[in-house]
Amino acid sequence: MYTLTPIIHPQIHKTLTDKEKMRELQNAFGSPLNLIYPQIVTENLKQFYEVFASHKIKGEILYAYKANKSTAILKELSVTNCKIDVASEKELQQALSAGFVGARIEATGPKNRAFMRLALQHSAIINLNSPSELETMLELREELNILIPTPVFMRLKEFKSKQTNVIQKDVKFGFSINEAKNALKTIHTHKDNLDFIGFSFHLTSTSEKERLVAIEQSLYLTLEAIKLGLDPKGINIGGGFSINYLESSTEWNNYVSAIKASLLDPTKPSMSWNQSGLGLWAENGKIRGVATFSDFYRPYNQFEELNKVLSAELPTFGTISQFLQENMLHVFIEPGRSMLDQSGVTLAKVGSINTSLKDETVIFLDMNRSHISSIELEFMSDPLIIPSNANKKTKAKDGVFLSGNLCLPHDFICRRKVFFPYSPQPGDILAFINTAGYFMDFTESETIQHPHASKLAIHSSGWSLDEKYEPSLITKN
Amino acid sequence: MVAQSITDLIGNTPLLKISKNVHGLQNIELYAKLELFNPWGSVKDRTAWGILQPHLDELGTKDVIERSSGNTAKALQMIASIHGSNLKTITNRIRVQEAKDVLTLIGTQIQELPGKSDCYDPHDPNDPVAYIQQEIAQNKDTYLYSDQYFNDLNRKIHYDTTGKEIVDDIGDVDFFIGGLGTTGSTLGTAERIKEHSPDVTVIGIVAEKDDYIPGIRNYDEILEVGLFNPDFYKDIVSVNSSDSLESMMKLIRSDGLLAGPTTGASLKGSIDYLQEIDTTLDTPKKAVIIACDRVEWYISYIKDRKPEWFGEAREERWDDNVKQSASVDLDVATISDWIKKNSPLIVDLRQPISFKTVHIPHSLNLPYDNLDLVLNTTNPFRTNQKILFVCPIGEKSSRVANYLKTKDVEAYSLQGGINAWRDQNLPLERDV
Repeated sequence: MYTLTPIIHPQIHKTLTDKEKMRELQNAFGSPLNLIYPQIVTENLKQFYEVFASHKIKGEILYAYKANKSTAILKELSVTNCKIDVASEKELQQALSAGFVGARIEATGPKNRAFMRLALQHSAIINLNSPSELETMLELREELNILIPTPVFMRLKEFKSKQTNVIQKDVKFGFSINEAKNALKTIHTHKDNLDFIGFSFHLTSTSEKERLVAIEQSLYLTLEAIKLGLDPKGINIGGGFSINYLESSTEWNNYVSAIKASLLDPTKPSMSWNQSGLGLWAENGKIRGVATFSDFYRPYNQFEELNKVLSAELPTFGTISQFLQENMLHVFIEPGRSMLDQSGVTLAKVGSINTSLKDETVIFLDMNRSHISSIELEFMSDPLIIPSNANKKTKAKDGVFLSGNLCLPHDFICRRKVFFPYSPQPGDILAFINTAGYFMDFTESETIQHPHASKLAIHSSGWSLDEKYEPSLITKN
Repeated sequence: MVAQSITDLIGNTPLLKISKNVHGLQNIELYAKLELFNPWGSVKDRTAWGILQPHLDELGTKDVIERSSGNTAKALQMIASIHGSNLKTITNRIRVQEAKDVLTLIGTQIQELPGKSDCYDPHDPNDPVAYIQQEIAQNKDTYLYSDQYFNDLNRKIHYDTTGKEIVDDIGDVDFFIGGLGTTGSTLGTAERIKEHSPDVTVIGIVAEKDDYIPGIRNYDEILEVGLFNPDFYKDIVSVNSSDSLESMMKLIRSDGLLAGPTTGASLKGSIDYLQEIDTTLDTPKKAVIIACDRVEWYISYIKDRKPEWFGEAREERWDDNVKQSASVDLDVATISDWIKKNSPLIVDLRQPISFKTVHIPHSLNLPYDNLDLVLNTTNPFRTNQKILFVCPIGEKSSRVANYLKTKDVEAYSLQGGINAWRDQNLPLERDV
């Protein structure tokens, strides 16, 4: 038995224990069905603000909308102080219609002409990706006769530290140090039309050391910008704050060890479908490869991680929060996954149960991998069973694999072995916890004409369709 | 004794019999092989020498490349250095600041690896070995890759020397307990002992999974080490860093052996494993552990985990009994008029680099940390001059002003600090 028990927010726990209601909703809206808890997102937002307050600095939060398409979350956040990070024309339109004004919107990522135009017209913050994008933007402003100033961030791709020499992977977004210095001059010559907010970066790794090196680099360039006569408002340290999905480090460690042990010793039962190893394999008795799952257990959460970053010491600058305070600089963050922590659940109906050629139990769910996978990462926490009355709850003998409803061999919901307390039966519902950030709809498709999953917003006074949710600042119980 | 070369001093280390009040075992004698007596201070001096000795003629034209975060890097650098080369280490495991500082000091080039990516890219190898191979491929013939995790010379040198010395000194060994890092020293030493004492029980020590002990790995990490052979060990024992440090201190205090946390881990693991066996014995037995290196390398690591061991009586400070009162705080809305009327000395308490970037006109810079030092001894300000203190948000300045008021200085604080000043659009100037 290798279980991976998810952390469950009390509000979610309460809804899931109402089995009748869950069955009713699943029958009405089909499988899979996504539940969104917009008020939990606000709780996360408040906790981020508390970290800033504890450091006595001004922090601004730009919610990374791409992490989930939910409209309810947008509307909920529209009545808070936070800003929003949009990455496409459609995302920008949705943000505007949910109630965000241009000044609260930041346009990031590669931008086509339509996206750039609409962002400029609403005076949204443009997060510049490259020197050529700066040129294109200036030309477009002129061509379309846009007279209001455009606020800009400049995204960096090159980081050097006086103390730490980190190997940098190749990066396709952003300005090198030299490109940034040149761009500052361009921005300065267009001072009346461009409002330089500051430098930004977005790391893909969760390494604390790299983030500190990037902050150090951003601060050096910020001082140069000030010297040039610009008035940057702060630095944007991006997102990538990791969350903890699981209750127990012991369960996590045991599970990962079991995967490796099963690869090293073929007489042990397989922990992954077809002994595929989830990216790992054994070679001369050693484990090789890179796992296709991220660390679902983390010893500290996103708020503690932010706190650690702000408390860190940099050579030359001292404590980061102290330096920001002294220089009247704000810090911007772009959290996606970490804002959505605990705010979403995916419900799926159990269809049928098969025994594979090699005697493994495969449970077919009425959903497919595109409903719960960001890129190809495996979902590493155990779903809860919401049993139908017919389930006799006989003890499960071994772990099972969870298959999707596509007629494709690769379509698994869990390619890893899942150990349930008792065997799920056809008609039961499985509830996947904490799927809102990137898992729920990031790569969702209508392949084989299976429709998109429905989304419901669950809140303190009941439920509604996701897009019909109306936020209120008065919490009702 | 006169040595011709520092490398002549590698090896031939003594064994120390650990006293009973440290390990508490009645029928087992526990010996520590004092590898900290090696010239650069650790068991890795042998490893580095074993690996580089056959390649000495290539040094001078080639630099050594390795992934090491501590003792191996230090020893490789020293050998490379006396032959006119340097070491480049590619690692993400340097977690002890002293180790990094010493390596930098002696000329090692440290290249840190990027962290594990959270934005999953299936095409990204994300593997330190891949980076080393890239580096070597891009600079053909300029590197000697010592490859301590896979190089059999790592095992062999301990077979040839460490194990042999132990057998020569005490003959039969019943238990050999080694911390597992590259696993080379434990493997080589134990193989030699086994030849002499075929019934020896070999135990490996690893760190608990969420923990970190310098020099040894946890069980999952060990599975990725090339030299590791699980069948060789009777048992693998996990220990945590806190218990290891307690054992280390016992060894330091009782037996005067100034060994580090890795030795503490081996000692703790040995006692855990041997305790039960000890009660069933009626004939005396002998066990050996390796005292890998010294404690001084790890002060920051130990401070992190056992701050109470460094606790000193706190001296009285100037701000211990300052009563906070808002009467010294001046409102930013009327501050311009007040300054005009009173011509105060304006003292900015921020760091010089912040002051240089931007400050209130006619202010002078006295960083808080420096003023703090002065105030602990004396009051540097005159009593017939109004002083306005400025800090980022008006907290530190208020504390200083309140204290100086008790010394009869006419001290004031800018409420809300320079942030409030800026928000009020009051003039700022910068040094260019």
